[in-house]
Amino acid sequence: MNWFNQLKKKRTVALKNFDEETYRLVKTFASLEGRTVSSVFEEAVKEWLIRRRNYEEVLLWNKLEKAYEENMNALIKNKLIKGKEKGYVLVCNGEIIGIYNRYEELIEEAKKKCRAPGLVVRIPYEEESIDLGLPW
Amino acid sequence: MTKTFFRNKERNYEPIVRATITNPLNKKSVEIEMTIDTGFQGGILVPLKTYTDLELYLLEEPKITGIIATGSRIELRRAKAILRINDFTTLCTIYTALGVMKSLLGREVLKTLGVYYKPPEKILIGI
Repeated sequence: MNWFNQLKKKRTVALKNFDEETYRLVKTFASLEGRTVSSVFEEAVKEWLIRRRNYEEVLLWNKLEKAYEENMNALIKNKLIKGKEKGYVLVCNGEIIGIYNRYEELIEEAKKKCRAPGLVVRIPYEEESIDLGLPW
Repeated sequence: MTKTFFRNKERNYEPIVRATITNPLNKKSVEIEMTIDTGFQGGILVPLKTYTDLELYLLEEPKITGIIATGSRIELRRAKAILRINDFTTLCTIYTALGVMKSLLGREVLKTLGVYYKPPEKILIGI
């Protein structure tokens, strides 16, 4: 399963109140090494991240979060669901696959169509909470 | 093979259950040891690594808020999986969160399992 390796993207980040002297040094060294300032920041931040105690776990969690948000957004935007009173919705790869009356039907469809993170939501959807006992 | 046992006296006879969890979607399975935890309302709590090894993210349910005994709230991911202990098989909910170090077996499963806890004797299941 190499779904985890398909999510590389770049974005613009602006930093407020960054120390000017440090920035000048970064810029000078980047220039001397023929690199961009952003590549130096990226390298420094990656090294800092790798030293975090649960880096691998957080990395994994964030990748799952991104897929989860895409699926949830697809669900929220879908108009068909709003007219449906009961059933199970299957969302995969940011797309609604279908609405099913029985959970077993949904599982069969998911086996055929879900190769990336999927979401099953019972409608009507209600937010829930659960007791965990003591911290583990 | 013994599927249930107590972890040493120094840990006040921690009740351990060894079970197999299977993803119903791709049939991936792992055998894990879980501590019986009557304070946990859900089915099974596992570390994120176990959750992803089973690829349970392929069919998750909406995230849920977990409330710990101190009142703090944390976000949990969850998915359905098949649990097998000895001859007992059930579909239950598997939960995970950041920072989970050990696996727990909670009341969602315990209520149907029938567990007798009397250290230092055996744990009986299916009574």
